[in-house]
Amino acid sequence: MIPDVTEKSNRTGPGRARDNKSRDPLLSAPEENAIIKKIDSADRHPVDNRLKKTSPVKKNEPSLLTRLFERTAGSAISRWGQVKDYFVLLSDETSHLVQYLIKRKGLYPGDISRQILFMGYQTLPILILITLLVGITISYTSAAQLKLFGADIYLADFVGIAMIRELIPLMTGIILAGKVGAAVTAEISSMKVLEELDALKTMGIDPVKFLMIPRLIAITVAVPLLVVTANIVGVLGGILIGYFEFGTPPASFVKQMLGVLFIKDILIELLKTTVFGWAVVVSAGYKGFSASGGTEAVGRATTESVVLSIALIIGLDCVFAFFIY
Amino acid sequence: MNIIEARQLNIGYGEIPVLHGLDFGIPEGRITVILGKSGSGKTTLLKSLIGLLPPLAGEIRFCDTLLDFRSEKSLQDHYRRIGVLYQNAALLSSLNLFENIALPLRIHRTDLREKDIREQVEKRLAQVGLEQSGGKLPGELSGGMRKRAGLARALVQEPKIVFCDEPSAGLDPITSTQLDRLMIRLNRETGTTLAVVTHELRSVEAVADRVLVLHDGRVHFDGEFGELITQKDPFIESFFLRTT
Repeated sequence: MIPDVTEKSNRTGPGRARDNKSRDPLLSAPEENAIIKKIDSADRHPVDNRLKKTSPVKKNEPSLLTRLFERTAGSAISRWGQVKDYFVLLSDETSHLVQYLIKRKGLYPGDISRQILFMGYQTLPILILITLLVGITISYTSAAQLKLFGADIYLADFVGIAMIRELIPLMTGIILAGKVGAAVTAEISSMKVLEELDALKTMGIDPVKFLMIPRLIAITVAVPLLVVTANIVGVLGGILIGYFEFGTPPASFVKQMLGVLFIKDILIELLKTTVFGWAVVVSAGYKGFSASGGTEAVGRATTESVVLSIALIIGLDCVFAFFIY
Repeated sequence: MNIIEARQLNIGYGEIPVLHGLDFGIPEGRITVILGKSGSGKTTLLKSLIGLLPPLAGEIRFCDTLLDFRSEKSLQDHYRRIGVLYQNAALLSSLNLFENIALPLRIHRTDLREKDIREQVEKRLAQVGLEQSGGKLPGELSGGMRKRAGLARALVQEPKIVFCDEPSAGLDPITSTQLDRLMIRLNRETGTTLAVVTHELRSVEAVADRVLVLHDGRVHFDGEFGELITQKDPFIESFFLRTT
């Protein structure tokens, strides 16, 4: 904004004295007045006045585009840093896991079995409930369509393929994210806030090894147990609808389903779910270890962990679909 | 002889130093109190001394060996020789008191039999007067009991020095005095060096052999407690007046 020279030139007192001292000696008083009037009139141009009222933008402030670019670049750099940190943690965990499998020491005795109990056995009730309900819903929805074409028997094919290839791994992953992932993040971030991670370090115990390796081993053991149970319960939902809706005997349903399913499908299902489980545990650990601040950090980290895990599960599922089918 | 020597130490977070050009030593077998106002960098200094925060410049020597923050081995050696009592005791909430104290032994001393571990843990519990509480979870203990348990865990690996971060924080005057007495007893009976971070003058008077005063990001005073109280220094005088 052009400074209001008139106001300055009319000032009296010490300010005025300083202005006199700084006056250009090459300009006479009338010339100086003419310049002042010119600047003054420019300043009072209607457009300029309107701008003066509406836009408080200062001369040296960056433009909107520059600020937008800066913000986007800053955010991208920060995200890149997070991705790097995620992979650093992943490589740390892998190296500790290999070390542990070779040396078999450095973990708290009984921790792995406690985690298997938590991640496997204690996850079963919610997994059974959800897979049964989803099995029933999927079967019921598809049964209505199949009935129109008289293709009742293909319900078994549909349930088998949809549940085993896609829905059970996805649902198990999401349930693990909500139950196991949230618990792991909440535990680790609380430990961080309460200086327990620092305490572990100063006892010479690596927190990543101490906390993450039992959980990674546990999820690897727990996933097959969960998948097998989910398969049985999910298919049971389909069998119930097949029997009550079409009168298909359970034995025929299973026979028809096994005709379209192969061992490869079950192995892929197990692999997919195990990878989802690892993604959940690694993401939970990452969010837990990177939590900072007070107790509110625990809630924030837990939410972020669940969101990240679910996003990763869907992304990985997409990658599997691309490479496998 | 100094167990810890700091030379031209600059400590801070990111690129911003909180403490500048610190030169001091922590003498072996004595209780040194690190004193300063809130925000003076006491805990920051402690984090560096215990090997959690690499200094921006300068060096820390422990028993005349340079503490190299880039070397995992150097840090691990350092951790094995120190014990830390954290402000909130930092006991693992999922383990009972006995298991909390046994934890470092179970991880590092895999050669020890269960009987030996039990013996050592019980000895430490008795040392801090918690022999009846080994089966309790940290959540079932009072603040003072948690601090004592934290001290027992800090001692279980027989460290050369025990660092205590604000041991009196959150405790009533009676419990705080009991904890001070416990620290003095440990020092006098076992010769363990203690470095205590605090701003509680009651604790300073009770436990300090030497005092290190931090002010304006520098060491403002480093000497015997007797010298400190006779100092004609405006900051020290105002500090004592303001906080007593």
